[in-house]
Amino acid sequence: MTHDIAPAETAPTARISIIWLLPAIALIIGLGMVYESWKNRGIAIQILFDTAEGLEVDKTRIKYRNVDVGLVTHIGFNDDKSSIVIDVEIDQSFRDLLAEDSRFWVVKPRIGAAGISGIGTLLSGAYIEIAPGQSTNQSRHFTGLEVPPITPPNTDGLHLTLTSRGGTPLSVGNPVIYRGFDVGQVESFEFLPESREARYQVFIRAPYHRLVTSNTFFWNVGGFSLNANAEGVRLNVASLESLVSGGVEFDVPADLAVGELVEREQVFALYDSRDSVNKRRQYEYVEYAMLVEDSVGGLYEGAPVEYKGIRVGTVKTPYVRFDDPRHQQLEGDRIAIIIRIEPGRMYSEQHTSLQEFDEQFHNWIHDGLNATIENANLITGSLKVTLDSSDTAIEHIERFGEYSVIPSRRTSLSSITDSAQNLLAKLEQLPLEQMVTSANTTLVSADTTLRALNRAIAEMEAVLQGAQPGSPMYQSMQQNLDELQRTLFELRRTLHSTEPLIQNITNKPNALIFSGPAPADAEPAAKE
Amino acid sequence: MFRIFFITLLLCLTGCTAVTPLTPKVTYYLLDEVPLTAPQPPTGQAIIQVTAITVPEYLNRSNLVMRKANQEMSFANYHSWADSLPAAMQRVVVQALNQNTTNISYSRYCATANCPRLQIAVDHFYPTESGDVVLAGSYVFASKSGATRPVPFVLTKALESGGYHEAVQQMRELLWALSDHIEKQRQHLKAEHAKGNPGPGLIENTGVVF
Repeated sequence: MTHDIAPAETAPTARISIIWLLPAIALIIGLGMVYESWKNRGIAIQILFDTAEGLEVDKTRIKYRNVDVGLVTHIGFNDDKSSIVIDVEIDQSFRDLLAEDSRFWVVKPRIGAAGISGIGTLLSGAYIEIAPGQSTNQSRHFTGLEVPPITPPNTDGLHLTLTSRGGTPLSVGNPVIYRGFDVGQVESFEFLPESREARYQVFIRAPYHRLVTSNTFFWNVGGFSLNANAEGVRLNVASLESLVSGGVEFDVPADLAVGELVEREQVFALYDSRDSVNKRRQYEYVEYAMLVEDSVGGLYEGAPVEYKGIRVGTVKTPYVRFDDPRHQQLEGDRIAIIIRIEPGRMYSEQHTSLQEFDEQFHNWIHDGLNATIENANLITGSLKVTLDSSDTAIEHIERFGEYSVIPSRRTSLSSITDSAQNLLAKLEQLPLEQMVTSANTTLVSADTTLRALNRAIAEMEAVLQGAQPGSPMYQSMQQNLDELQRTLFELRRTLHSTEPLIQNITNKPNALIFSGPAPADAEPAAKE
Repeated sequence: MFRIFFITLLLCLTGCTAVTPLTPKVTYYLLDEVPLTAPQPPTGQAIIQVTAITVPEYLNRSNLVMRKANQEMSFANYHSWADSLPAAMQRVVVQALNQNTTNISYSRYCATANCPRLQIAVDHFYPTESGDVVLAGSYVFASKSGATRPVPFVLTKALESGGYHEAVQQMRELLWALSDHIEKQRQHLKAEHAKGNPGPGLIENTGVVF
């Protein structure tokens, strides 16, 4: 038996096996994941720090207002090993934070002048805080701040720069005070050797930043100041914090109107004190000259010019150099002093113009206004210029170069000095040596006399001591006096007894020789 | 020549020295009698000093004095005191006062200046021609704090037989009577002082132990 086997039907098979679908799907998924990962990867930036203290790879986070925006991915050194390079991955959604002026700093426990901060990181660990900048340009390389900024980021207010050439230095965190209110802080400071001045960055919080105007003055209020004058004693303390650590105060002087508002960072001068603001602030001025013969030792640039005790100006040049060509025209040995008369110290701003004031001042000079140099401080010996009026009018005002000369008169100290010199000359002519020698001789003689007198007094005291009642001498004297008294009494009695005889002899001088015996005495009779 | 001068001088001297048998002799009297021993005062007993008795000038002489009629005073030529009359009077008064008191002593002396004093001033102390003997004057008690008002006294005695001899005795008796008077006055003042009444006789309360 044989069967016929139908020929097999053949069909073409697929080139790719369906078994490859799974791996394809896996591949697609894989690629998708890679793409997703690539798409969602963070923005890599680098931050330079001096130290990596508190920072850990894949643990230290970057935060903005306590929201995680990134993570530290790598910590290493730069090429010369001078700084630490922190590789950070910032989330793509926070791209806008990476302005070129953004600031980064490590938040960790710190104790400083501003107080204690970062306590929370004791548990959570240190992190890097970001303060986004305002620039429109982006950057991927930043230099971190070693110290967190004093002012919280994005705080409304005004940043200013204060310059100082002396006075008490300020510290970061010192308060900025306006009439007793704490309105800001000192953020940073630096000293510039080239200009020999200190620069302080201060921040004034809103809305107090609107108090800063173009004619605002800043002064140092560290510690306290003590003023003693005719009005009494005044102790000035801005605040307790400024008393301990220092601070800055600002205000517009009372004699000035409020100026234009300052809206952006500006540089102001920092005065040493409130008083120095009044003394050293710049006024408009007119310059004059003085020609004096007195000593100008103690007169300094910036010394006050006063009229009846009111400050009206400032000394610009204590003395003009003798090789100045203008000295050639002077007669005699006179010293030229240049002073500034500042009308703003006497009048309000709108009262008079400088030209009008200058004309008026010339009239005063014609009427007898004069100037002298006087002592400003007897202890330090500093001098000042004092203006005063007199009855001596002048027609012609002397000139010293381009300056009108205010007539000067000798100081009271000079007059006193001249009188003292005359007195000393007279004293010098006195025969002092002879007088002293004579006085010495007299003193020696007086001393000898006094010694003898003392001895005599001592002896007299001894005698008187011996003559005290109850003493043997006293008793002896008393006895002698009693004896003398009795003797005198007896003598008197004897005289009384001889009185009849004397009377008889007076009546009859020859009774002693030719008289007979007296008759017998009559005697008292018996009582009947 | 010398002989004549010598003889003349001798005759003159003879005339000067001749004393008639009829010239009386001078008799000297002592006011004190025989001294009496006064008892020793106990320690701490108060002492009153009897100061020197003051007498007028006419009595302050050695001659005895007698008052005659019409205020005429007679000074005896042959009757004299042997001792100073004021001193003798002081002795007699002190002796008499100490005989009359027991709780206080009188003395002419005082060791300190703080002793109270008895000051006696005699104005009349003489016999009269009519036979009386007179003692008159005043006394005061004095101390540091003051003095009493002067207490006057007038004491007299009569002469029984007359003569200066009896007169002296009676004068002594009068001084004893004066002492008795003084002591009674002191007792009176002491009583007044104890009552606290100054009394009419006191100028002020002297605080003396009267």
